[in-house]
Amino acid sequence: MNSILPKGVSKERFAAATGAMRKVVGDPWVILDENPLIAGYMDTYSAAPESSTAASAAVCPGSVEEVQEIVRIARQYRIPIWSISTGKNFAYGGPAPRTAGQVVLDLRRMNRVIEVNTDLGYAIVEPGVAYVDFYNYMKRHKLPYWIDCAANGMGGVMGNTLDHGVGYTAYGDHLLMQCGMEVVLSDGSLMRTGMGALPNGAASWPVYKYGYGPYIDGLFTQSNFGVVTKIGLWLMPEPPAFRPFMVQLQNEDDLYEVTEKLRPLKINMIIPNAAITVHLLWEASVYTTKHEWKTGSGPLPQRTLRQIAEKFNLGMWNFYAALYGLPEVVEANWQIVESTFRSIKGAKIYREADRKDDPSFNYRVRLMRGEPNLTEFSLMNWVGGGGHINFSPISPASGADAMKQFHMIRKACEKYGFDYIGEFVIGWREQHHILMLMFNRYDADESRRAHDCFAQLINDAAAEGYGEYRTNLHFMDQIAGTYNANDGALLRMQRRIKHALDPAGILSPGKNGIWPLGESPETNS
Amino acid sequence: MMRRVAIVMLSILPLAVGVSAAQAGDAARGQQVFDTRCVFCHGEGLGHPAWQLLALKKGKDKAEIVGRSDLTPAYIKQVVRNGYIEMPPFRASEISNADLDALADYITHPGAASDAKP
Ligand SMILES: Cc1cc2nc3c(=O)[nH]c(=O)nc-3n(C[C@H](O)[C@H](O)[C@H](O)COP(=O)(O)OP(=O)(O)OC[C@H]3O[C@@H](n4cnc5c(N)ncnc54)[C@H](O)[C@@H]3O)c2cc1C
Ligand code: HEC
Repeated sequence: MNSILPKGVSKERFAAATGAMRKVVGDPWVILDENPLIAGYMDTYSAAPESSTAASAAVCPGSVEEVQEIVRIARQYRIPIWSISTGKNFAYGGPAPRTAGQVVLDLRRMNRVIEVNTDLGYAIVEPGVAYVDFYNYMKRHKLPYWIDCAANGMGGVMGNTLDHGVGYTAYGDHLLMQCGMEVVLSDGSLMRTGMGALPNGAASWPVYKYGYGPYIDGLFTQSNFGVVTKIGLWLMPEPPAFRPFMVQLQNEDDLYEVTEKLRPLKINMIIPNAAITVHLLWEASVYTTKHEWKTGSGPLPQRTLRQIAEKFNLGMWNFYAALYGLPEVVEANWQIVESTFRSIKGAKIYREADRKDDPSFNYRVRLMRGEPNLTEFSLMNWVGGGGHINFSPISPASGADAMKQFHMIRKACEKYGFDYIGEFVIGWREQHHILMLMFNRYDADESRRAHDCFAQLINDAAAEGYGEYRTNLHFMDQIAGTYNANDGALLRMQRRIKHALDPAGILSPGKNGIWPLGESPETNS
Repeated sequence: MMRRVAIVMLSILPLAVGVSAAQAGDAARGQQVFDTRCVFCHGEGLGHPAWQLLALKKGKDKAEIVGRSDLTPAYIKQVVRNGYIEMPPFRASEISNADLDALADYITHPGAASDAKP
């Protein structure tokens, strides 16, 4: 018998529900916690114990109809089901549900590219389409479009987009490039958004985002209002010219100037892609580990950082971006870009030919042309032990904000004994600051410190008016609590929508702090 | 009239359909799984995090797992299903049991993949 059950669900009810689910998806695709395969649903990276988010079971439907049936059964038996698509949400909780006992609804088997339209440049995909498979698919069929992937190439189009993820081509803001959605609601009914609501509107569904009436696709992202079963996304035409480059900055204070210089280039779309300013240690992890520089824990001193920069020909900050388009246009824009960054004192500019055999430069280039890889997982070797959680506050793309956040976050990291390993991903007018908080997960004290550091960072950031764009399972409530203007009006409204759309409260309870009415983190722990 | 639907309804891994574990060509299948699910970490050289770490922990001769004589299929399968420190686990919904068998065969006997190639 299952040793873990959903909160408040009896063994009998659970057995009846999973039994009914078996009839829908077939025996192998209901995985109970006595089955060793349940290990694949653990969060193997966070700072909190795995048991705190251990699923009671996983169910893997193979079609939209099966999803509908599973949702109906979950509603009938009041079983909480946590939706994942590719389920590789590493740094944020992986495939695991928000609380122990929830059943994972694993949509990975639904892995078809439904359509690629080569005239209009869009695709419609199912949840289980992983970046690497989508990329291979485009290559195999010689389609003249690029995909845009996260640095976690194991992830996938839908899950990443639904969690507001980012990539590094000119189409790096994934939700901006999403158009058209199909959703199973909590009563098992099927809905298409936008033009897809017209009985014969399929042609315009993936090309016009807003349809008629309120625009609602965003409601199904970072939320628990439905189970998304298809999304449309726009594809970037393969550009005739592509010019990636790196600007190496010698001093930590250069972060201010590079951010200020970049902003007009971004707003005017001279640099069209998600540009990034990456701190030394992030890049250094591709070549070396902390162990080679320091025994024992605690952050590396500045002196060592300088030595590392020297040894691997890296800057204290390393800025990457790319130009895309017609060769003449790229050349003209290059003149502007080069002279802009050249004016930063000590800056060194590198192009592809300058760093041919450089694995950190190479993976950045690959990401900027939408080629999946996993080089960034080298970060996990920095201290070893696998632990990592991402703290990711948003700010305006300004030098002052970048410096303020950098100092604030580094101070907290040092207080808790960690290196600052961070990067800024600069979108159109904002920047995502990503701290990769790396720790040895097999060291209980270090894990606890990582957890505490993260919790403090949320409060420090909120006090300065910064909020996170996304988060790890264990901090969803704390962060939701910081978006609390007007007596928490936003979260209260989200909970009212939750109640209206999912009165039984079965869909991903607790996602991003949205609990069903009458439930809270406390009633679920 | 536009050429609307370029490709419709193709399964992402065409070989996953209709190839049973016992058939010949399994090693080639195993290689295909390796090349999509493992190689980004386990390929050779820096830039491949598993290679980097195994080189440090076990030496460069053990850094590449393909062809290593000390790994058994049972161990490989156990690592893939449960993960291993920095390595995440893989679920049956992404690597089927049959594919996992083929994958373990390939890692332990990579030569068979080239033999089996048409
Ligand atoms: C080294 C490293 C590098 C990374 N680089 C990046 C990066 O460059 N960009 C980036 O954005 N992230 C990055 N990440 C974070 C994360 O790993 C990726 O965003 C990854 O793509 C998310 O996993 P996934 O795509 O498998 O989504 P999933 O795990 O499938 O989904 C993510 C979440 O979305 C929701 N969801 C998924 N499917 C559905 C559905 N069908 N209906 C309703 N809700 C659903 C669920 O809440 C789920 O937990 C990185 C992580 C690491 C460790
Ligand atoms: C995200 C990167 C990543 C991916 C993807 C990955 N691995 Fe690993 N793997 C690692 C790392 C890192 C280690 C070493 C862990 C350690 O020793 O701390 C490892 C170790 C292993 C080992 C143990 C080697 C030994 O010497 O004991 C095996 C076997 C293995 N991986 C097989 C696979 C297979 C098969 C796949 C594809 C299904 C795969 N891995 C995918 C990162 C990865």
